[in-house]
Amino acid sequence: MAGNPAHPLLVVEDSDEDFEAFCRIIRKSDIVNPIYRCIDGEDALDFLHRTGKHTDAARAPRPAIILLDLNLPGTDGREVLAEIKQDGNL
Amino acid sequence: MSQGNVVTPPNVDLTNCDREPIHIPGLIQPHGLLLVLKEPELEIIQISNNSFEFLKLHPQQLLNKPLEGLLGSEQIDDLQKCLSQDFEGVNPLKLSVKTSQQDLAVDGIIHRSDGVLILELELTQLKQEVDFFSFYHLVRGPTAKMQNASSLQELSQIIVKEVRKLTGFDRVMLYRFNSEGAGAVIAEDKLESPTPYLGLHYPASDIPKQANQLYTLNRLRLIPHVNYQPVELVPLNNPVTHRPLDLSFSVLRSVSPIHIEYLNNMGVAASMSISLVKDKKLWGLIACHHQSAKYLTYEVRTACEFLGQVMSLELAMKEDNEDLDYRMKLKSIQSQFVEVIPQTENFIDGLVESESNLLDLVSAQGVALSSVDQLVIRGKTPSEAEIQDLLVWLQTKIQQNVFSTDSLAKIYPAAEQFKDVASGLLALSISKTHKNYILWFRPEVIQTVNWGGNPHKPVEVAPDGSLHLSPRKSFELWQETVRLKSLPWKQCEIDAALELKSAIIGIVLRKADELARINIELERSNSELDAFAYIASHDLKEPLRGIHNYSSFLIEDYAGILNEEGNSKLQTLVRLTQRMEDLIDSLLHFSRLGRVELSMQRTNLNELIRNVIDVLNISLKETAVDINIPRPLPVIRCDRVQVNEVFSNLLSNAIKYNDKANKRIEIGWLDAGAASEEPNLVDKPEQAVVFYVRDNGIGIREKHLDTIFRIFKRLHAPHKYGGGTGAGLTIAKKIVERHNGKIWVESTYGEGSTFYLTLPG
Repeated sequence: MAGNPAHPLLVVEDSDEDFEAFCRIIRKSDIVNPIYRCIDGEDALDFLHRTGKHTDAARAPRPAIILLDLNLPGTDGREVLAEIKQDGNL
Repeated sequence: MSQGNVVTPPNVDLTNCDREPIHIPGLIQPHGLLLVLKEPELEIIQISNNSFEFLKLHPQQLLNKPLEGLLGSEQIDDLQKCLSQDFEGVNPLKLSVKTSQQDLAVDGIIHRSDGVLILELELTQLKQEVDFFSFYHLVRGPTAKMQNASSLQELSQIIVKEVRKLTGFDRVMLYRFNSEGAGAVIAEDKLESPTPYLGLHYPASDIPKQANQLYTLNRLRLIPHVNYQPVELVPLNNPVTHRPLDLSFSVLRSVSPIHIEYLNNMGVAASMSISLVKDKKLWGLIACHHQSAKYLTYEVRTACEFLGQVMSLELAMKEDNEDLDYRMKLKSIQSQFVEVIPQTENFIDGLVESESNLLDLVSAQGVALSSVDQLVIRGKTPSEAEIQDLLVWLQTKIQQNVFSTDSLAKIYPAAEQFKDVASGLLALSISKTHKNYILWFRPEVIQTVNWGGNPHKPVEVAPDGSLHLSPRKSFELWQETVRLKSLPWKQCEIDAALELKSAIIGIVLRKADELARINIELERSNSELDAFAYIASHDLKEPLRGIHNYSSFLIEDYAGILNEEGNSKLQTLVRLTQRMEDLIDSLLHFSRLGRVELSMQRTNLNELIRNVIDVLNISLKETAVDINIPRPLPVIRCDRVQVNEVFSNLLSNAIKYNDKANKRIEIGWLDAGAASEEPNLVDKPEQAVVFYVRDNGIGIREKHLDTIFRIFKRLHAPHKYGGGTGAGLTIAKKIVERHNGKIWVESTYGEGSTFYLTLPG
């Protein structure tokens, strides 16, 4: 057992295969943190701002760690990062 | 101060003709009375010594008296009102002067000079008043005719005819100055009997500088009686300034004694001249001669002056229309150049390509085009050496981009040697920094000029032994053969040359613009290409990573289920994905090389190579290689990281592609002497150093020598000689080229290869 179930992990990754490989490593390492996945930048910002399809606070908890792919379709990882950094609530 | 019969200002003869102060003679012609008045009280402070003839009053009776005594208070009031106005609109004042016997009707002409008022009085000749309408009648007909003239020649003919009709002079001539101030009679209207002067030339010294100046200021000059007795002013000097009175604008001003002599020698008893001024310069004169004394009223003079001004306006337009066909031809030649020049690498080639046009543009017979490193000559020109000398002289002469002369030998004596090809020179400076000049040449044309008398003033020895030049006695036709002169350059030809210059500059600038635009475009497409390579490789890597991961997952999860053959195939799959990733990384690295700024610094290559060898030793471990550096390597300026990569690639290749038991590598550099014999170094920059890396490895077959620098080109199977992506030499080449260097190889198959490269010193 590793990690903390109270610290959710947000993975922003558009590639299903890369996400699968990531999950596999997490599984093998017996990491217990809950994992949430967003598939692109807009999705990730909705998740963090609890807007769009992520209005339910219970299903969109504040992540302890964000794993952000920089090259994303649409709003890319750099823009997401910039927005997170300038948002005082996050 | 001597009074009495002194009529000649002292020490004036033709040797100092140009210095004779003709605007301050202190004398006037006797056909009028000159009064100098002090403002505001209009007190008479200076008067011509002929007052008795007019007024029966001696100067002493008038001096320091108010003018009112002569004119009465009513006329003085009128006069006072005029003084604030422009005198041209006021003159002539119709005045009545009280004398002891009768009232005299006079024309008063007033102007200011030297802070005093000058009032000149001439007796009104005719009883009837000449008012505005009669003036209009005098000038209306002639003006209309002049405006209808189709050419300058016709215009000239009309004005001499009309002026003669108006004035009744025996002879009226139009005298036109050339650029050197010499004149020629271009139109004439006269009585039947006297010899025609039409076509005769007169030297520039006939009209000295200060006379030219006065003609420009004062548009009409009348000498009713050439052999008049001049009248001096009393007192001689202006009492306000204590200097001789400035009579520049005086209509009565006395004529230079030399001019009187000149007119006498010509047999002229009365003369009038009307100035023709174009662009504020004296363009010509309408000269009127009479064999007996002749007086004209102020009104007729004004009408003549007016016609002169109309002529001055018209001639600018007529001159512009001269040679219209010729100028159209020059224009069309010019536009052909504008089409040809942009199609050639440098404009000199473009100009020379259409040699006949280049000559025709200014009607020259030879042309030379010079730049810093070349001199191109076409047609009939002096020799190259003569032109080079001429260019040196010319650089000090050329102003306003253009220089022209029709008599080069006169100002550049060496030109006499090549007078047959270059008596005339028209030089155009395109760019002083690049020493770009175009020189057009014209041959000597021996001409006969018809002078009005021998133009070379004879020197006479005066009784006191001093030299004295006098005006020529005879104005009979005097023919002169003129040598060392070409046909003159017309203004439109000089203009054509100047326009060619602006066309060339326009084209050069446009080319520079185009290059700048192409550069920006190239930069954009280069950075697009780099971005493309980066994005493409990133996108290629993503599925590749998937293949790699899933293959690894298969091995991890199903190794037990698969047999050995299945496992081996999966391992091959993983290895191939690994290789593909290496290739993509190489491509990425290569694309980045072009984008990174070089960080040039002084680099000791001995240290750099030692570093490379140390790194290689770690990766090669037990492989025994003998690396020899016969003499210390120089210090060069380069990008350390990149040059490190070049040597690293070359050395690792030298080690990898070597199957000998004793692997040997030699690193060295060539002496300047040895390097210059190398055919690859024909255009090597001065400072570059040639390095080499020689091995005793497997060598390269000659047919492959050209392809080894191509990206991903490999000569061997992937597993042989330790593998590799096939990008190492391509990267080395790119780095060397970014250092403005070259890389090449010499090789003997089976015995070894030598890689050469040049780097900046």
